[in-house]
Amino acid sequence: MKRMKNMFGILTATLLLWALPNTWAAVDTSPIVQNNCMNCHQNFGKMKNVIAGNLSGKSMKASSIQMKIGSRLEMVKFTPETKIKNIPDIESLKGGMALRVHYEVTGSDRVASRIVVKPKIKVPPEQMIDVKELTQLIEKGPKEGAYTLVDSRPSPGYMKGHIPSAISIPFPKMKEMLGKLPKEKDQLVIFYCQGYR
Amino acid sequence: MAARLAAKKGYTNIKVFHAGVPAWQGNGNPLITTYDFVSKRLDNVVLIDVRGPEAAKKGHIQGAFAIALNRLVQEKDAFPLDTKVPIILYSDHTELLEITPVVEELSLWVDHKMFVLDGGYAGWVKKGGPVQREKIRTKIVYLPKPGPGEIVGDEFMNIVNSEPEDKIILDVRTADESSEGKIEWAVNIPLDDLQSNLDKLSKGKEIIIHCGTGMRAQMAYSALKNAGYKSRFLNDKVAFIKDQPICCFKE
Repeated sequence: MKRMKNMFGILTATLLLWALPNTWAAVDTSPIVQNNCMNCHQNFGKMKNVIAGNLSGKSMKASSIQMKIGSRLEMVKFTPETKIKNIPDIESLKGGMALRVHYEVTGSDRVASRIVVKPKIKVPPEQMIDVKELTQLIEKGPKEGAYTLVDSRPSPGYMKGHIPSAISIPFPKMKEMLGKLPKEKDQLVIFYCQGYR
Repeated sequence: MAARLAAKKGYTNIKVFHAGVPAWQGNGNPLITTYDFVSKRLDNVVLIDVRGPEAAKKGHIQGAFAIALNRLVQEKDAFPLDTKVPIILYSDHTELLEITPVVEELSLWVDHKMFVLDGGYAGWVKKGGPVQREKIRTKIVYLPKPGPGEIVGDEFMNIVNSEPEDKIILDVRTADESSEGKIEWAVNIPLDDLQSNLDKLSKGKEIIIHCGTGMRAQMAYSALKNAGYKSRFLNDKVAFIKDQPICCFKE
């Protein structure tokens, strides 16, 4: 009987320990990640207190940013202590930027501790092509200009609007779509995507 | 990333247009849009048949405005106030050589993004897209449709004035802003305090949210929606003269 009582005590204690943190955390802290981020950053899905996706709104007056993840809009507050990486300050955040926001939960709010803006991809200088050169090539067309222009964005972006003569090879599908690249490997291949804002 | 993968696969002549789509458009160049995109969004784009009214009489894309290419710059003032609405130009085929200079000139005047429909009218017909012969319109008239969760200004003002039982007006501006002018029967909960004051709002009524510009109202809308409230927001500017709201003036 005594042993039973002890067992019961331990059980209640475990139950309490297990239940308490759950009642404290009113805000779900599991990662909220836009699908297309996961193409390259599978690790985001394992992080806690993280929202990753594109910025859809910002209000300096309310010290809040808003991100659209799928069909949901997620709101995170920021404070003067919020650290920001890859751009000078929160004022420089612009709609559409790809962000990873690390936050803490205060009451019923999410408060950003760190906002990491997706850095520009580094391209070796000899690989860079500018608008002027590209325009000249496009005026000639892919045959005469002997080039293949590749739009690496997801398909909806290509459908909405692409640079003339571009073909669509979304980066996540590139391995399966290599057949769309020219057979001769010394042919000029030009890649572009959404660029930076 | 893509360039790196191509290099790994043995390609030796790789270039990257790093500035990407925004730089291309920013330079006054049109993008090529597709049947798939346009046919799904006929209500939310401005389509212009640049062959002009005569050609349009023989058939044009449903809802298109017939404005000849050489008259397009004159019509720029009739472009939608919302510069995010895509302006899509089409001709018989994909006549980039003729259209591009006009787009370049337009881009000096307007901020709209301009597109050329791939395959033009011929391509549209081939794909079986909706066409019409009648109702030639030569003046651009764009009626904005409310986006998800939005309420249009006219309806907002109607509600403000008629105070229906089943609605609440929620003002999410700061107490300071609200003290300088507010809708008399509105509930003021600054966006900052909204999460912790949700219990002050009734789930049985529709909550109509406004702020000063639409930005905070949208954030409040998403917070309420996530919390299971029925609401819409005014995605527009509101100013006050005493307690009389004036809404929906662009600029």
